[in-house]
Amino acid sequence: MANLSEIDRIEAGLQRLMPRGLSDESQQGLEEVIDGLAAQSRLTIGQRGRRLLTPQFGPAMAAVLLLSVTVWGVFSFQASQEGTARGPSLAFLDARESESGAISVLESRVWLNGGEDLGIRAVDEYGDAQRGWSYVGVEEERVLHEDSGYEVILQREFEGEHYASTSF
Amino acid sequence: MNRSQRKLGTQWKDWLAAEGGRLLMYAKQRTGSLEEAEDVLQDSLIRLWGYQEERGYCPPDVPLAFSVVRFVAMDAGRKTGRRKKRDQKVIQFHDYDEHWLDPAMEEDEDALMLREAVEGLSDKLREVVSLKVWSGLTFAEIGQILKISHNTAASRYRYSLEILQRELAHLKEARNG
Repeated sequence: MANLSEIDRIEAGLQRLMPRGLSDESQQGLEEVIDGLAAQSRLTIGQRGRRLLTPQFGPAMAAVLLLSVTVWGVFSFQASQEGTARGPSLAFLDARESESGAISVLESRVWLNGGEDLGIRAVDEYGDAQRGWSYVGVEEERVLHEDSGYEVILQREFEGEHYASTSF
Repeated sequence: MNRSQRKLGTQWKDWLAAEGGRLLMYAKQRTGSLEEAEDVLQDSLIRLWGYQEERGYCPPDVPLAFSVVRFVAMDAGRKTGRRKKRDQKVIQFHDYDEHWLDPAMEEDEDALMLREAVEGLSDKLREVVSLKVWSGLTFAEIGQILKISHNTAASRYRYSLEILQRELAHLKEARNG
């Protein structure tokens, strides 16, 4: 077995053999590539995504339900305070009216919260192997009920898997 | 570019500053040429960007980056027809510009002998030495990249050092007559 101090000397010698770091020119060239890639980037969702939480209606519809509960609660409280029996007009609860435009989507965002490297997997019956990643993310919509002026933020989590189009 | 894109660009540039040097060294070891290594690194960067799209374009982890460089270098080698040359155990370098180790060390005789000994290692052993010494990876990371266990990576590394130690002793004996 080789002497340990000899091995240490070999390692130290190996360390000295190769220069470290990118040259300024290489660094600059690669940074320009990064700038080009960043300028074209946009966040997209993989085509195999499936939603974890699936509301019965779309986000705007779910917002209608949420708004209705909120507004009803507010008016009920006010009514009880004022000693009146009148309630609010809940015409906006009608889904058809909501679909026609009483609810506006102000902002829509999607982001990823994490993921996992699935490694190389067979993706079809022919045994083609591709590298895959799983991911989890969030879809968020900020909606406005135009009549009442209430804004609601609705979030849904989703997960999916993506496989590289280029296989090794 | 909007603010998010600029932020992405900054994250990747910071990542490049931290990892680019050792990725380039590994690419040099795989290709045998600085020019080709720079092309491999650029190609790898573009591929890594695409792979990271589903992760919000965050910079990749180190084992993935080295794996991509490895495969891009293999592709490049096949395209330029250098596979036969790469498979040769004894690689003859007549032009220092083509050398994948630092030519600035050519005046150091011991360094020259060590370099010669490294060149004589098999591809498998030389790759582990390159990833461990010049890329600064752990045995676990090396195992991930080469698809071997970390114990196998460690064994190959130790065996490589023993071979180098023996080879260096022979070369010194030959030099001193």
